[in-house]
Amino acid sequence: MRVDLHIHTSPRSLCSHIDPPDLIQEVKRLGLDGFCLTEHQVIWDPHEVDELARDEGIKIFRGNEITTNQGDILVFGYEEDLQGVVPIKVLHNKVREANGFMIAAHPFRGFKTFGIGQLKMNVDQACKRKVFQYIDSIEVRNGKLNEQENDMASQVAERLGLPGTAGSDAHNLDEVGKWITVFERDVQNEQELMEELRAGRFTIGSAR
Amino acid sequence: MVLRFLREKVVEVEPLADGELAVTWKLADDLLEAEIQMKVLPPDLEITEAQARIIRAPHAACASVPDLIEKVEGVRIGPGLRKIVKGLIDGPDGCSTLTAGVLECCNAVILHFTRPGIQAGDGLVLTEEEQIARGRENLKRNPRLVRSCIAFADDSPIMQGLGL
Repeated sequence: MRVDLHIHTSPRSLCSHIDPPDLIQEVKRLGLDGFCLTEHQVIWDPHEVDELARDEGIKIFRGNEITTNQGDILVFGYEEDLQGVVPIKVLHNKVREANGFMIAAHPFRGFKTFGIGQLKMNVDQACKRKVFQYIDSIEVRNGKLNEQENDMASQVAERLGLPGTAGSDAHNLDEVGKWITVFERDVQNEQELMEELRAGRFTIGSAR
Repeated sequence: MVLRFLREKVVEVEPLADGELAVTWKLADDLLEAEIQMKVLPPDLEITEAQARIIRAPHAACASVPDLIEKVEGVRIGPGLRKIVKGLIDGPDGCSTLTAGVLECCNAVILHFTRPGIQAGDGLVLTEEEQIARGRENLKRNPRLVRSCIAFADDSPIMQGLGL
């Protein structure tokens, strides 16, 4: 089952230019089986998602990209509306209590002008980041990152024994599906999505 | 009536022997005097220590600055920094002077790393084709540049034919 786990839509994510109905058509055109709506600090109402999905034959899951003092975290299975910058420890405790799932989003994203290459970061140093003590998985392929940044995330995930997911982080339609997570099993709902993520029953792919 | 207002501001980044960067920010004007000291650890650019004090201020606002700035310890100087710092130390219970100071410290650290590259390119004389080639190389290294400015807009010479 081919799923883009990281997509932003307008107007819930102000930085996105993707209209949700257009997204459905693009996802179908790309041959994906589903996608996850991961807006910034807001989670979709399940009824609205059901209405959006209707009879389109596409699975739509809900997540939330939450800003913490240690960077952005993709959160699944946690419904509370958190505003502002959340300390990573606080988020960890809340999500753990809700039996949710946390993914460190684009952990090695650099600035537009410089990044880990210029800083000469190595894997040992990268593994020591505090954020990795609190998450369940690392986004090892993100459509907004360059190869070096994504490779570093892959190496860190491998070293720490954490599963590595992929998502496009699309803010424009033509970015959807750049990186996807390919699940071994069909996933019917968000609970099953988290089960498959926890079990690591997936690989990385691309629809473009 | 002639109003006179003088302001001096300085921010410095100094590499230390242990590899950390010491950042000092000082502001003094006719109303306010404040300073921030930070230490930043490369390569992750984590703020390992942060201290601040308001030496002179016209009102009681920002009295909690010494406690407030501790919130930025552990934060990394990286993308999303502005949002994170503002979220931690600005707002009704925060201090906008401190926020501005911390962000200026972080900008100074960023410049510490970007300035050599900019200076290296300053003396180069490139043909249009070479400029386009360099732009495309930049795009390859950093996909976030796509559509980030007019040089990387969809109809720009750099983007044409790339199919991004």
